[in-house]
Amino acid sequence: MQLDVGIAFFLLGVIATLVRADIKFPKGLYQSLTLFLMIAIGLKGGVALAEHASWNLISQSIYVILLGLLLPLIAFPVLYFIGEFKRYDAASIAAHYGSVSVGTYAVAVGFLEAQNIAYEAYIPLFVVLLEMPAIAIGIALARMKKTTKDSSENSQQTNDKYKLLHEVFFNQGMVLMVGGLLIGLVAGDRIERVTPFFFDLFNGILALFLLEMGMMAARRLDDIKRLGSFMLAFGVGMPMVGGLLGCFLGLAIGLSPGGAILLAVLGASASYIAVPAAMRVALPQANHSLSISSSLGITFPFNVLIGIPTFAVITQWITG
Amino acid sequence: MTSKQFHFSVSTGILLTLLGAVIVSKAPIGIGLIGLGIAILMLSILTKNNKHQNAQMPSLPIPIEQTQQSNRPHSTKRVR
Repeated sequence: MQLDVGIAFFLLGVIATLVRADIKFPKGLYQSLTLFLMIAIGLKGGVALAEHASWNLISQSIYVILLGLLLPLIAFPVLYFIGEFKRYDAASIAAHYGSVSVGTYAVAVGFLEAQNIAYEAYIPLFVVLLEMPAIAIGIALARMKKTTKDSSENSQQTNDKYKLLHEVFFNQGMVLMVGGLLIGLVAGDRIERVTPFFFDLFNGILALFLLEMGMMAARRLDDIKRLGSFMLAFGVGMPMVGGLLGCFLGLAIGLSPGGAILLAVLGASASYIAVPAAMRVALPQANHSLSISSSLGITFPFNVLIGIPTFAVITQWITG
Repeated sequence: MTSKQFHFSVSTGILLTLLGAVIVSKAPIGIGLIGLGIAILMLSILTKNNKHQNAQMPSLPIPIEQTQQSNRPHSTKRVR
């Protein structure tokens, strides 16, 4: 049995933190790795879009957006009625689980390439599309019951709305991935000038990113203990539901098994970069450590270690 | 933990264990699912009598830069 290199680096990060090895990434390196992955994924998607753009892609995109709207609507009642979280907290966590994690997507791409499983290279377009709907649904769910407001509250909310719209449409992930997509789309053959950096180094950079993520997840172990068994069950159960929905949807809209696995991973992943920033603006009352701890401490490690291979097995099982 | 939370956790644990048992015949990753399912079941049973966990949630983590700043020793010199 061979262990995936990315997973091995993730485990190394976890072990290094547990044995208190003094590994410190230079300040800003994690941010740089994230930026690199976002641009590289965007560029790859743009190149693929230029080669495979078709009308079919529009209908596929609509279904993907519907998936993004559905996921927080599944998560919210579980958190609000069963978990008995406050409305703001439940809505914020639901938004995180409805959105996507670029890091998890990058790991899934690395996994498919290591297993030689073909996939539609334009899936980064779906990553971009899945970022936004969950944020909108999360905010709507949180503010559903609020009916009375005075004028000062109104002006404050208008101010917040602009901040929020800016955060939703111009967050770093959105700008870099959409920018990468567009550059990849229009660059043509000239993209070869940057492929040695953005394409050939992708797996090495991903390994470094996973090392840091492993350390980060291990540092959150205490938070997980405090979150308790309900959040552990939710942090694992929700990705399974989202992943299965993504897998079925992927196959239903005509994606290849590899594409369906990637859509499953997108459905299973929980955001920890774009949505936290948007939620801090939109729902400052919510306890943001809850959503970050569960998405980063439970769901990300679950997807990397168990979720991605499980969705691959299930998808290949269904497609025979 | 409330009874609804307990039932949710136990059901999730059982479902994961069953899914793992089905998958293990196809791929060894099923063992991971079984382990996780059993872990959730055990944790649910062990923490059944705890009060609602929402009240004990950790506060926002302090960014590293702030922690480093707050750990700096304060100057004890007084300006005369």
